[in-house]
Amino acid sequence: MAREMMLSGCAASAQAAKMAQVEVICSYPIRPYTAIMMELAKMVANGELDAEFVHGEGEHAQLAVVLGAAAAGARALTGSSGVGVTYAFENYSPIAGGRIPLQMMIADRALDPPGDFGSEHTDAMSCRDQGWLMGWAENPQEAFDNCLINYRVGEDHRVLLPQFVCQDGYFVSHIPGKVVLPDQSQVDEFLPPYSLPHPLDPKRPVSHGPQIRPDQGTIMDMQRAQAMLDAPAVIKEAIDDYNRIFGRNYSPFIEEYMTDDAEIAFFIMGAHTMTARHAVKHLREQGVKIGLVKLRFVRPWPTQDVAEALSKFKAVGVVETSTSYGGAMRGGNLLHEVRASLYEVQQRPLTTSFMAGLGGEMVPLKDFYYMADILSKAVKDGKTRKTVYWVGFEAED
Amino acid sequence: MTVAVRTQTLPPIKLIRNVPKEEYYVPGHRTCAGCGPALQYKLVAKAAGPNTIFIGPTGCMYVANASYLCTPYTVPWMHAQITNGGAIASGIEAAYKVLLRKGKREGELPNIIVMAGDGGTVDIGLQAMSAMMYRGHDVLFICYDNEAYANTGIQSSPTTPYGANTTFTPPGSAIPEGKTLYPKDPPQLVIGGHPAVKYVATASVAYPVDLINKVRKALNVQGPTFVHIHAPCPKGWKFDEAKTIEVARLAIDTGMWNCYEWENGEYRYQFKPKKYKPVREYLKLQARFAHLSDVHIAKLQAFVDAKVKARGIPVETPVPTPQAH
Amino acid sequence: MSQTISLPHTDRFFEIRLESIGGLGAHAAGQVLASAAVLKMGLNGAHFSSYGSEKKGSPVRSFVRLGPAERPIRTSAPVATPDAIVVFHAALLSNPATLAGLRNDGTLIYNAPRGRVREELAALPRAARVIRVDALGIAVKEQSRPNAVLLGALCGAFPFLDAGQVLEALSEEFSGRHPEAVAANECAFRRGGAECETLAGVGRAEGDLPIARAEPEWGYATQPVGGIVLEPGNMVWNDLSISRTGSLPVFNRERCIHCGLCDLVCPDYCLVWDDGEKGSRFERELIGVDYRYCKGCMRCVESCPASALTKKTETPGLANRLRVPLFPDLIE
Repeated sequence: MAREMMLSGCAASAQAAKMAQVEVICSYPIRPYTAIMMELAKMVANGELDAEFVHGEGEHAQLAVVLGAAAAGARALTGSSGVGVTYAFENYSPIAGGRIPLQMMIADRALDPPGDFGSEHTDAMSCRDQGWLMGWAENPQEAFDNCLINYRVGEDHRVLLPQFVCQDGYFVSHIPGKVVLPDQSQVDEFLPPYSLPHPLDPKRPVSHGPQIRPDQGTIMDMQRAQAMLDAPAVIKEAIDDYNRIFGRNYSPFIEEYMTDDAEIAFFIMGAHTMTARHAVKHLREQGVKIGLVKLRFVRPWPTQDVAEALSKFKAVGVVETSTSYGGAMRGGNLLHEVRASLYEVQQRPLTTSFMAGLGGEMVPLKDFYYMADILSKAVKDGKTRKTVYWVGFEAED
Repeated sequence: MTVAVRTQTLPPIKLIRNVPKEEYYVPGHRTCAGCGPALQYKLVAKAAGPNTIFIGPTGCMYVANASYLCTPYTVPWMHAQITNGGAIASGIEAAYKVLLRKGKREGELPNIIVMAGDGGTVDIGLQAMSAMMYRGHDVLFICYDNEAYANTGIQSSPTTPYGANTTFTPPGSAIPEGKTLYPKDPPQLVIGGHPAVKYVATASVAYPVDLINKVRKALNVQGPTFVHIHAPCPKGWKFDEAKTIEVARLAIDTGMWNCYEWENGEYRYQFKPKKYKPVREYLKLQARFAHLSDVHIAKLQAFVDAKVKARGIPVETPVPTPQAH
Repeated sequence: MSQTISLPHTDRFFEIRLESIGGLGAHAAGQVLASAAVLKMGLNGAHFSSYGSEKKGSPVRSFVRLGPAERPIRTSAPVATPDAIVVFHAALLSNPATLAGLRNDGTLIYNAPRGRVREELAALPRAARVIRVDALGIAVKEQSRPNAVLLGALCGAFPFLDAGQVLEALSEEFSGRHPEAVAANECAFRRGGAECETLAGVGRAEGDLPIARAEPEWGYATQPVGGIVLEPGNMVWNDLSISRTGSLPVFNRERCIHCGLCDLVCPDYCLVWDDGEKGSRFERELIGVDYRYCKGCMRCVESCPASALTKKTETPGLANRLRVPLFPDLIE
């Protein structure tokens, strides 16, 4: 029977992993994702979940352990935060290139220096080019849902890619929200058992990951790229099924809020979307023609959907909670992808990057009003004054 | 919650005639002529049999073996980064435990064997190896020791002997002996601090039947085991490739390599010479030691003397005396 | 220091390709030649090699490009249309890619002793110059390496290359690490220049040889996903005979006591066994060597207690005549 609970993002993620019947889990403690592992440890200890709980010696090892397990034929799960995510970096390409569809739950966290437990998308965003599916949850319900959706898409033989399932540290990982937990039979209907085409099995021996010549390597890269091209269709199927079976109403890649006659809009992902929605609603009550576009998948990046949605507006504020130093226009990485998506559009909106929430700072409503103000001014002026604003820390000049 | 799922016992071999005739490591691999590690790989594969999964961290036994989308293994094999042979093996073992328990696979837990070089065991791979031993996974970790990072062009590793010429420890007027550091002792690292480990052995390609038997014994033991195999490298140690076995034998006869087993706290020794030959006889066959002076050789002799005296027990490395030249 | 050397062609670079296997010094040879050209002969030059991981026996290609000092060399693409090809190991001639792209009036220099000319050389252009020198034989006699001999032969074949300067560069290369080799290298170099034979009437093709383009076995729609190899043990299709450097083990069945020691020391599983005759003393008997896989390490010879395996110089065709196949159903 489906039941409603108040769960933090971490607790919801653990519930999803349990209902997905993960078989090998590899842990290592780092805040704030650790709570996921603590929940799973309890479930394994009291027999609620039949899985091997392996104590990894570090994040690099965590990824290797689940790689071995998934290659051998078990559904595998791991996770991390912050510098743990970057410590494991060496393994990301072998896993994606080896086409092993395991899942890593990231409760994101700012990277050192200095030690900062606060949320930033920077850790996972630094790994976005390795060939993993990647997306952020806005709230604990989405954290739960994204786990199941990503296993289903990643394990599909048309895709076979690992997944970074991300949520904002603290804001989603630790603040409870309403979560509807489905019935196990619904999960079983949605998510088939894990089956890798060629697992490690002495009865059918194969070799995983030999040395290759450069031309063979190019082919592997092309195949990985093709899998990313094939993923959106599989994502759409999965979301349709998910909505049908679980009664949700997700659109696969982006979600629009109050965009109908909007002139300006926020482009945003993750926890601060909630506050942004409130801001948009209040500003609308004051007559500002503003809307919001929320991004669900960073990889595969939905170029067409983003272009179509954003080309309606005159100015778009890309709200970013991740840093990219020295990049084009000194903007963040979301700005780059947004501008690239809009390159072919005839009527392009003005775009600017708003750095907000870095270091785990809350983003209050007044910051969103400030951003909306800048966008309105830009529409009046016909241009943006800067390509990047560090919201709350710079005077607008 | 875990269940002991392996009942196989691989029998020991008494005569060469009884060495199994099946091969699970077929020819065509691009190792150098006379490669010591390739030889031990063949013997280990023979010892283990068909119900085996190999994990190959990056190294000569990866690059030279599984090249260009070809493979010499007729059992399942998986690449690991040089850092994490122990971790990948742990994951495979954990997967098999749960899959067998749930009935998704049939039969016995396969032999799971990590084939790591010395770097992948006690240098960059140390963390993963130790964690696997600590967690008690039913995996055999083999270190094939060719005393260098050979695949990248012969660089020094923590098992390279004192005084060896490698491309990171070339002898010169400022550093005449080449390598100034004394090597780590891998089996002692394992024995010293891992309560779950029940069996550790050292072996050499000089005595192939002994090697096969030790591998089988390690595979029969439930839980993590460690076998350290001396595998001379003609290219890295600079000797005629026909002499690999002779070099390996001399290592044992001079005490530079010791063959022993450690099981449940007890040591057993094999091939202990009645009288050790001087280290110089071993060194003179290998051009990687050609630059050493008598002072250096004496230091190395002292180190070896101390080591064989307390066979199998860690020794303090002698503090180098100030140069007198 | 530099005098003006005029290259054979004013409109393009002079390009040399060295074809070899690891361990014969082709990379060093290319380096010596290029540094002599740039630092001593007043030319502009580039050298680079392509090879996999560094070990003996694996194929190595070394490329040298020479041009006048004032013309910048803007390409680092492999030499596809060489003026000269130097082949360090004659077995490589059985691969058509070794000679690919040789210009119609180009030169081939290859390492082989006197004797019958290999049939593969008929594929050369009629107008090409074919030079043979026993680089291995000279190197062994002079206690040097084949690369010194072949450098001497190359300078002999192309007088515009200043042999004295190239020799100087060769000596400088080794004077640091191996001073004892300098004199031996010099002898080998000079003999290389003096003892080559120009063979007439070898090539029968017309025009430049076509450039080799590697045909991939897989495409992105057919290669197994994730870099997985689905055929266990498919390495047996590799032919390693080119990695031998002059000797092979010859088996005398009469002397063999079938003790199995050779098998326990061979890393390459070259020894072919069969069940013994009914009633025979031996359950398993050694019947021969599959030279397809033998790299010539001679460990079997060293360990045989009955001298049933002995080391012999490899002559063309010997391995094929003596070979006993390991997988007769799969590979003849």
